[in-house]
Amino acid sequence: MDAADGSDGRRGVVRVTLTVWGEHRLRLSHGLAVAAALATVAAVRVGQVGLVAGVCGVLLLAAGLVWRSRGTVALAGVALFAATVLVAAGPGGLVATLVGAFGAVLAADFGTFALGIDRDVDPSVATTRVEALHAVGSLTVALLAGGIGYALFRSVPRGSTLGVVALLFAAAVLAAVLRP
Amino acid sequence: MNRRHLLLPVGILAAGAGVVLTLQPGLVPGPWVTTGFVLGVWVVGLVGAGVVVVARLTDDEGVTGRLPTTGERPAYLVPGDGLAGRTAAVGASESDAAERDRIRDRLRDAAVAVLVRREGIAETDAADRVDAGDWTDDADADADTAALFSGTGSRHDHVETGFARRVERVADAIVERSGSGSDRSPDGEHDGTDRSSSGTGDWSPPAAEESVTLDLGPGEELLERSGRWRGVQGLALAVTAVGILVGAPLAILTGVVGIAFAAYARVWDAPAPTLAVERAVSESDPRPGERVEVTLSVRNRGDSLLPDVRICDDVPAGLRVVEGTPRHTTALRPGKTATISYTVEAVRGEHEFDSLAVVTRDISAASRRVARLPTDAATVTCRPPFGEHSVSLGDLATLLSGRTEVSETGSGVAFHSLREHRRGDPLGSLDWGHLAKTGEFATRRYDEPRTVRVALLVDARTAAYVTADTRQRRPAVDVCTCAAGALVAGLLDDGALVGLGAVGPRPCWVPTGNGRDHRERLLGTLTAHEAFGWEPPDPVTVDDGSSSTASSRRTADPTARVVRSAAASEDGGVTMADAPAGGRPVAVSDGGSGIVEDSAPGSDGAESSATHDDDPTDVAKALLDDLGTRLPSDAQVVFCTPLGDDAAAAVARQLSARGHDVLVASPDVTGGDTPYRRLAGVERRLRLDGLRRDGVAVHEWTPPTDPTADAGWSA
Repeated sequence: MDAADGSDGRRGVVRVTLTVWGEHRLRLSHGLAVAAALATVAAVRVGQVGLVAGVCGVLLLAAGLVWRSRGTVALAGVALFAATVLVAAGPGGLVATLVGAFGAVLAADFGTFALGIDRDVDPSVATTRVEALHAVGSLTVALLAGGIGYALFRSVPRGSTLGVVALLFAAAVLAAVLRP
Repeated sequence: MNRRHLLLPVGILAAGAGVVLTLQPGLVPGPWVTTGFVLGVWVVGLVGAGVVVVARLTDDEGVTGRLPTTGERPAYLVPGDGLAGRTAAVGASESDAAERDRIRDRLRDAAVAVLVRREGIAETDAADRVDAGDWTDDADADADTAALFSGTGSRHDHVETGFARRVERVADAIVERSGSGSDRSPDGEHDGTDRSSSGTGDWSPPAAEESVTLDLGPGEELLERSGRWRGVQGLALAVTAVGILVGAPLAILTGVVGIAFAAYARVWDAPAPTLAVERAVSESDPRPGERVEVTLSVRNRGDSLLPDVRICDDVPAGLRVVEGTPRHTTALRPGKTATISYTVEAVRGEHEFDSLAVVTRDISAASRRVARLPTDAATVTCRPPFGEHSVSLGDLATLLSGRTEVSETGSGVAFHSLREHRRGDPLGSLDWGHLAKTGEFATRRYDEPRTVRVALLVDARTAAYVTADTRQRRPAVDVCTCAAGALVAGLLDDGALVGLGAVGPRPCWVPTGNGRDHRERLLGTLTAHEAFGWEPPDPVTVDDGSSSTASSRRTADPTARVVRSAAASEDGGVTMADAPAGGRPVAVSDGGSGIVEDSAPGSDGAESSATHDDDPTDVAKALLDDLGTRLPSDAQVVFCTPLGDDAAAAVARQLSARGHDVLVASPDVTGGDTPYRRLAGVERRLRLDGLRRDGVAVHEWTPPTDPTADAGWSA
């Protein structure tokens, strides 16, 4: 259903068209979640198994958004991430791996955020600004971390797997404890 | 030293080792150290992966961060829904035998009463016929009755099967036998009540929507983690472990993603809701049904960006939002203002807007701050035009007709009698004729002029918060209050002294009087007193671990509780079918969504710690403990009640037994679209008949379901 908030010729009044999906509004985060999931699928398309898992992830994401199920959206993120790992362990390249991994996490992030907004406010309420801020924050983190990961991977000498593992382990522990 | 203090050096050591080993691969120790470390991380990763899956699949982000539901009247039950919920919830095992027996007893009592009434036979004979399954013209119904009451063919090894099905059939048989079946169609057409429920008896809650409440007082706030990124570290480690297992460096790299977002989620706390809120209402004293626009201006008076502010205005109970929404989400830069506007439909009551619920989140949405902020107060007082629908004395039963003759003597003008003269008697009262005839002084006495005193009592117990229409949601308490308002106007116009009281846990008593000021006082009380409010009263429950009232299962969760639907609890209260432990009980709800239970005979199901075993008479005595002492001894009483339980009838009998002339004014708020609701209607009729037999006058009517209408009293 489309509903229009007409300007009636008044200056400064912007015509807003709301796209309502069933009883719920199609929001920015819905679109971003699907876009991130598709990016992951595009990144993992080089491996057949990964592609299948990725497509399953997209379908799960769509189902979760339609059914308004946070668990299903989270499962979609896990499926997309698993697809990335499968491809990374096989034919995937560095950029594809990073895009796939961050796309999976962002898809789950945007999807669950959209569901939270849907749950809290009516379809008539415009929430684009809040969603955009959240998306910018998550994308910034993804780009920064992706850049660091890329640089790390390019700069680290081959054969030092233990060092990488130790670093990740340290990061995980410190992320957990360095916060009251 | 807590866990974090122990883990901190571990993390620092791991980081140092990682840097060293990354830059100097030649320092890697022997293979056994490498293998052990990697296996350790692998185990941790797998556990983390499990945590991820379980946490994310089951996490609904809690309920505390959710905006409370508002802008709708409490979801009152229709009489009979309580029994339906209890029957649906009861199991077949021995452990539920006591509850099944209570339900069985209730049906048996109703069946016997119907049989006695219809055939005029003795109660013992009726009981024998019911127990034997020989009381209807329907062989199937008789068989179900026999099976239900005697257990024939249904109880095996302490397990009773098919109980709910039999209860429904017997309930239908009772309705049919009572003669009410003919004027109550299964789809409830006769009274226009809610037809959304199925007529199959497969009970479903009347209000299936989810409701969330926020148990924070104005000015209180709570900071918490949302759990949104929970387990992301575990995911990173699991992926790393898999990468090591398959020897794929790129797979190990994906672990960076989890670590990055785990750190991101822990950078900020949700900002404090530094909001200045101004409120305006378009009309402060509307008439019922009139629309009132509420406008909120929310300004960020802090110095930092609020990236995610979710606001929900606290719309007073009873008011329904008919346009716009009281819930809003926005991002606010410092000094910026957001405006929210919505429209409510006015109903009786004094509705005070004085707070709103706020949830702020940081940009990652990993933490949130839940608060209830006080705002500018705005009061909307909606007083129905009680006088426009006044009911005069002559419209009521004869017992309230005009002035009464009394034997008291006083300062009137009509001669009453003579008595011997006493020192101090006024000279003007001497009967000179008597002195002339007898030579003795005598004093004349006159009749004491006395006006009828009428006490209007409104049933305001939890059990009276029932409705006939789950869409309009007009509770019987509102109907009774409007009926009392109509009586106030009529009785005062006829010169009676009128008092007002509430029968329930929220005390309210206005002594009898008359005059313009008294009229305003009475009508103001009916409009604004909390005893007649839209929220059911808080219960007094016993948290002894045995009660199944939802309130007795509260947890320490101090903020929000989610309620999806209401089902009756074992003790005639209400429990939440899908509430978290401690879900707010609506029936008895701390101001919650207000679903109430019709109670079984003998149980009040209402305030106090009444249980199944409480005798209605004892409950009535307790209810009248204080109110009864305030009632003038010569006051006639009009008791407005939906008669939804035996305790209401017992209150009327108690008043009658204390010497008051009692008129029970009872609006019919029963439904007819499920067997249980029809049964509740029959039980109400039995109570009415019982009161009539006991000499209590009864006036009943079917009120309009629209809460903006008057009581619909028709004498």
